[in-house]
Amino acid sequence: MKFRTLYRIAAALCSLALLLLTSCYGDKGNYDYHDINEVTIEGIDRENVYQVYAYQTTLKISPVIHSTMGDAGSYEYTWRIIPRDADTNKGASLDDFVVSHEKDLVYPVQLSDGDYTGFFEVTDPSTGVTWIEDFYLQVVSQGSTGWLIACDQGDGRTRLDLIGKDSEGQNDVLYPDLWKNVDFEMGSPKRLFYVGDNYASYIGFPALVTDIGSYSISGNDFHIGEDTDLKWYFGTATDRIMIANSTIELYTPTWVANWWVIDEDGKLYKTECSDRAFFSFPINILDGQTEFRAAPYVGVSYTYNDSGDDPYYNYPAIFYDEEGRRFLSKLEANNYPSLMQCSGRQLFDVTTGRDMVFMDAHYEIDAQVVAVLKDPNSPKYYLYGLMLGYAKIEQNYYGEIGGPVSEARFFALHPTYNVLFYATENKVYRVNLADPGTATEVISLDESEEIAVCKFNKINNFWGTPGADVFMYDLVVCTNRKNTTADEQDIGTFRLYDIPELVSGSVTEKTKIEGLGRIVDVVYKEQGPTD
Amino acid sequence: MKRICIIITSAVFAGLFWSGCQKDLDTYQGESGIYFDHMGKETQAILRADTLPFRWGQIDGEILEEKLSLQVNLIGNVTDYDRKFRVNVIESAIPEGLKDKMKAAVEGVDYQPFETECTIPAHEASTTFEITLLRTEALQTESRVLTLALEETEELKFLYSREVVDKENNRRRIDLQRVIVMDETLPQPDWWWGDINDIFGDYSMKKAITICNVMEIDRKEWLSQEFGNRTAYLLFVGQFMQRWLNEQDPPIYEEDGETLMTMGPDSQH
Repeated sequence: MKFRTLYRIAAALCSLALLLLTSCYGDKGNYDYHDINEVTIEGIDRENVYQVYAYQTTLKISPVIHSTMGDAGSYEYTWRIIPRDADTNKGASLDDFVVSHEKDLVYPVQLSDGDYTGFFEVTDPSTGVTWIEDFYLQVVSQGSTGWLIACDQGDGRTRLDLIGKDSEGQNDVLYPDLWKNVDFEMGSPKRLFYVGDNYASYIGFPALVTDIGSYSISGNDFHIGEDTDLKWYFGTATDRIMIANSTIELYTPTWVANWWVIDEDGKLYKTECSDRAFFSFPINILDGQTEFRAAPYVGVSYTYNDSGDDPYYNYPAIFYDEEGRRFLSKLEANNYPSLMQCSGRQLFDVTTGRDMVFMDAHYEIDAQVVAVLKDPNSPKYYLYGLMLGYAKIEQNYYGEIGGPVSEARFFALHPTYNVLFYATENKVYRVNLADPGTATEVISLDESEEIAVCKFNKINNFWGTPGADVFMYDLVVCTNRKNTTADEQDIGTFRLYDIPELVSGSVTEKTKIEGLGRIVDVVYKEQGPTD
Repeated sequence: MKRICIIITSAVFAGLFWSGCQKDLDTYQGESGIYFDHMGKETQAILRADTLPFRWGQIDGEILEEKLSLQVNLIGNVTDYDRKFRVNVIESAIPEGLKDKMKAAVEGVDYQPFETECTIPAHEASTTFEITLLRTEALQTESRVLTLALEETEELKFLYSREVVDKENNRRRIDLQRVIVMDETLPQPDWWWGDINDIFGDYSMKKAITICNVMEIDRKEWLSQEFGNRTAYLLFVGQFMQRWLNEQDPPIYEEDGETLMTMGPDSQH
């Protein structure tokens, strides 16, 4: 008999034996059948990729839950959006990717460019059973612009909120806590500023100053880290640079904007505002002879003379000697500031004996610089008007400021109108430059609010920033709710006010966005060269 | 029987075809030799084609020794055993007009003693040997020259080299030796002109080397055009250097020993 035939007979006998053996097993018949809850999820597109714009699109998905048993209203929901390259071996945790616990997803997309997988999880808390539906998401960046708001979390970190526009460019959308998952201790916020030239040709980034350093906020994903520490821009900086004022002088004889910086020690630095920017030794040395401590303000022209003078842009820059209590100025051709010399009528002595609390300039319309100085021996504040010209300075306004200015916390000069605003705890007053003794209350907020920001936000890249021709002339007023505990976070409110041309006109609120963190400062993130 | 005939006939034809494809190769059966690798300059049979300039000036100042690798190639057959040869230091022929600026390198001072016996390993067609060159203060003013010559053996002879003829009609086989000339030459960067003169002043190699050493600037980066574009940083470098020079006691002079080293007018404040 062939081996193959023998093998077939043996296999048949073994199978028969196995069947006979199992037939002896007694069935106890102890069954207890239960219906189980079957949940199906509809309304999530699994066939196509959801394509969204970072910081512009609000992703909205409204799934429909069908369940054979149980109360769908008692279910718990979790939406997670996880980068395709997320790696738990590199510290990624599922909890980091939760974007909502609502059934209907309404998520202003605050993700960097890339591909993501989304998960919608439905959990029945009575059984602990979870049903999951996944989907695919592609995030594209078109360059993010909008209001950046630095908020104090109270834990030594900064919360960065963004108010941007939706993908249609119409409605304001709040993107809270952009740095929620950032593993970098940036410190508590002190101020924000923007660095960029007028055509965003070479450089453009917002920057944050905290209690431990100064950092640029780079890219469309608002990156902050050791690599964005602004100390790398300073040849003489040691472990950190604490920037008290950063001012861009757009028009200079060299045709490249100047970037002025005054640090918290009153040191004055200057470099070109370009991708080659680098600060050398401080120049707060009067005529190159005597060091002075610069007040944290720079008065420069934001316009230029096109009457044919050569060079067009030879406007002086104004500084203030904090200890000598005097105005200083510097022309581009000079290496160091000198005591300010004014031509024409003399309304005040440039050695004022007073403390500077504010200085800013008009934008485009003329080269008007306005400073506010406080008398060191009384609660009086004085307005100083200086008109910059071709290699000259003229005094054109001077007078004591009226109203409750001794309670003023913030000052703001309108970019074109001859009006100054100052904010007390919850009120804003308007002062006519030509008649500073009279202050008119224009904004009165609820007593539960405390003003944290009152400013106009100049735009360097004016023509390249959509909407700048409108919002740059709006007064930005931010408030925080008073008497809140440290763990109450969404206490900030952002407002924009329309300022009428007539000083008698009423100031009207045009934008109000609530739910921000504890606001410290605001700056507009313009369209930068790499956006 | 018929089947057996077919098989035999097929085998015969297959054998014929097989032998028809085989090629008789004429392999080199002569002697073997050695020569210095051309370093990619095969076509250059010029007088100084055997010279290897070694520019310490393009290497960061704190680096005081560097290894130089030289390749020796085999001409002839590889073997299944090692073959040894020697590389010797010979007297350098320094031209008369350069004798005040060029001196022969000294073992232990300008280069470390090295193993002169080298090996073409079995189954290999080349070998490399390393020599460690040393940086000395003397290089600031004089270059050092080290001439290495191959020594032929019974197994590895001088069978090949490019040959040059000098003005005196002397013939020289340039691939049997290498002349290493060490100096501190740092070429003038292309960007050091115009406005940069306002920052650094007139160019001198000593000034450039001093700047690189004090500011810890990588010399390859220093020579790049990109570095020269960083005008704001260069201004800081100039101002820093002027402050540094002001603090030096004794002061730093230019190569002539008389002119005080200074930066340009933009760095004077």
